[in-house]
Amino acid sequence: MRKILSAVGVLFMCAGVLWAEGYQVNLQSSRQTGMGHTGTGLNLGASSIHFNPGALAMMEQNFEVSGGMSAIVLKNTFQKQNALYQSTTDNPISTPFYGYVAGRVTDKLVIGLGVTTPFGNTLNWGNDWDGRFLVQEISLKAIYVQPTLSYKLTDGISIGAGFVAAYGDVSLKKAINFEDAAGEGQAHLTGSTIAYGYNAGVFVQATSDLSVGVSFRSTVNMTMDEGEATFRAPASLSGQLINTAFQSEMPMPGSLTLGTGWQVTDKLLIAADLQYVLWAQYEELAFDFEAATVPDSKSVRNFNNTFVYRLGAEYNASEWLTARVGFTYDSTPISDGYLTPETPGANKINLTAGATFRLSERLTADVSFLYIEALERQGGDDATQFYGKYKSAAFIPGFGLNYSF
Amino acid sequence: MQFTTYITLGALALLGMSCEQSIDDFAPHSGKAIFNSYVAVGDNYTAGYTNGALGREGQLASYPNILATQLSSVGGGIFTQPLAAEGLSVGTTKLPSGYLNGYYALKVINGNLKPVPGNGNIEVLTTPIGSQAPFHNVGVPGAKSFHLLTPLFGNPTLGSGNYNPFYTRFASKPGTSTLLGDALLSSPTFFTLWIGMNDVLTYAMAGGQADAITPPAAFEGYVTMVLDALTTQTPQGAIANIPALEVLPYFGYITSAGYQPFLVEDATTAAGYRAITANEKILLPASDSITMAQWGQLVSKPIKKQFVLDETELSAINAAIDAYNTSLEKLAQAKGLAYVDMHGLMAQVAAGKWVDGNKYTAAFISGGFFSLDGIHPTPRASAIIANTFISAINAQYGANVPMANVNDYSGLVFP
Repeated sequence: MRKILSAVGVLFMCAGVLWAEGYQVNLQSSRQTGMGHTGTGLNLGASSIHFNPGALAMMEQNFEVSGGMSAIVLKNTFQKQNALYQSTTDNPISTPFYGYVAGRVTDKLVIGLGVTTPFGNTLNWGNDWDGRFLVQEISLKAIYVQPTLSYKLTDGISIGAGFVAAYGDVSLKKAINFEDAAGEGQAHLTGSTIAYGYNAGVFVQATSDLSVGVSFRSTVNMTMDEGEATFRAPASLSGQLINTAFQSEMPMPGSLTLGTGWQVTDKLLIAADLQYVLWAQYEELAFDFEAATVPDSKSVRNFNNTFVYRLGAEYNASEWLTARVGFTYDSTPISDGYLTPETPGANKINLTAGATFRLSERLTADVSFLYIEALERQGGDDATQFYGKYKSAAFIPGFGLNYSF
Repeated sequence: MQFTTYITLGALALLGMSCEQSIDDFAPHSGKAIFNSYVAVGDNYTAGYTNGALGREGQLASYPNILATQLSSVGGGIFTQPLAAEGLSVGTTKLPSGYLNGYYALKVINGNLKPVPGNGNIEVLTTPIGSQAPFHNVGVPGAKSFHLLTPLFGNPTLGSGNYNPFYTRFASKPGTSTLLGDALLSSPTFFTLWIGMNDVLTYAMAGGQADAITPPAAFEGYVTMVLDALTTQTPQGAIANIPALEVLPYFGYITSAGYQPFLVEDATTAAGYRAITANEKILLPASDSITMAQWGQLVSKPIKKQFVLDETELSAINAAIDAYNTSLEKLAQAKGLAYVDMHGLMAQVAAGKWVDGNKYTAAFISGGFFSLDGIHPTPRASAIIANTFISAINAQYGANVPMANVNDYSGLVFP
């Protein structure tokens, strides 16, 4: 016990920051985070609501409630091309969370409700940095609420689906190229919206040791009709740069995931997931301002669909302790020439570790650690001619609690 | 128990990797160039003339000063300029108040944004600082190619209009020293030369009614003499060419576009006036009389010749600029110097040039590149000009001089 806790203590000392690729957040269960966020091919109980609604009906317990959160400590750095200039972000710690509750209605039917935060991005480059005309601060998040139904077709096959009601909000601050004696101007855009989608899946317990699953999450299009834009500008221009409403749209991309689980021995479980993320929906970021005197802006983004490779292992060390380790390779949806400081994407390596402590017959506690390192990426945005080397790292501790019977 | 050992080792490995995050630094070096003593020779742009006047603010944001700052990380030494005293500025236009103008500033007049000159400080021109020579920046507003070579340029005994007080104020020996000689006093190891604008500009700003374009053959001769003198002491440097004058908002701001063409004076027609053609230019100082007193819109008030560049004058100007640039490129190649394409840069700005998140155009006031006089650059534009020099210098001498951060400098200040 002491050895485990000392290892845990050591990991807490370091603070890097890492963020899942694009603006996807893969922290929807502390147990699954510990094993590379695999889970589509596993019978997870209540958290299958997110990982594979099809597996929910295979839940072993009759009732389960589970919840937890993570703290994302993220640092991005930028080295300007052909210049001595460097900049580092001062990002606030963001705290994605999850919660699931599920109950068996009949021996074939399980229903449940999940609340997750599968997308988010919080970057603070500061007000005075060199890229301030592209972004100073950006923060976006999405909260998904998913009531879910899952049905056992046979002893070995089950299906399920959930309806997603999503809340999204965004806040973007950037400098504008008009200054007065007091300093530069600034634009602040905020907005929130509700959108809908679904999550469906199929789960197959092929043999007593091998399981396979497929799940599909739809794209949720966050359309903001009444965003708010406020400007700080020189007094002589305040008649043109007036506070106004704006329209904008940003997709939370869907994905298709294939997963598998293999109970190698009665203590050791290995899982692998292959995820295909539909980023290509994100073609441009446009802001349509209501006021005629505020020029609309449109930036091409041209994201590409990507693959995410996940591998995890879980070991039942003893009656009260299960340990986990995992690895993920997350490829970037951002093509060369479209690399901006508001989403400085790159291919990322995720290393995870975790543990579950069985506190009682019904109650378990999970801890997870996720370290993400973005491979250094040289490039920039051709449209605005801002180039350099981007690097980032994140350290994400998390915990969760599970109650079931 | 073995598994927990693996976890501990894994955790320690993660710790080792994650705590340090360094990014590859930019490695500056001077390549084959020696930047210890850098001297800038040129005219208004080199001197830091902007917003219609010479003043400390503009001098500190001159492209040579920005370039010198960037050279400091690759062996560059101190860079001295003949700075005006803090808060003072002076131009060349006589205001109704009797003063020469000082810096222009944007003000709101009758609900519109207009550049308005302050009163200039004559003491900038009358306070001699030649005793503080040598200066590394010997740029002089108004200098033409041949002015670099003659001691008459700074000789006050010749009487008003026959010498240039902007040189006299910092000449090491007014009346005896030459601009070129003063440049060599710093024992330069590297120079920049940007000259030739005024060889056409002075004529152009008079609407072709006064002054004369320096003949291209003579221009080449003068520049050859200047370069011979500079490269004897200093074999390394950069020469910039001349942009098309039409890019400057001073010449392009007022057009008839969309309306009946303006009427301009023309002695060759029976009526004494005619419609302006699409290619001809109206100079910025005519804008008030056009918008407020209907000049150019009534047959009794055709726009006067000195405010118009007609087709003949324009083709003479463009032919001269092209000839100057051919000479400059030839000389740069012959002497192994970096050739800086300012003509190309200004053409890019006219088409719209993005730099570090902002778009610069040649539009008056809103373009962000040209200052309130419609000819000289804002501090940000000066940094872009300095970076254009740096690119050419890096290419020619295999150096890695770091670029200036354009966004560190200011643009136009709005009320």
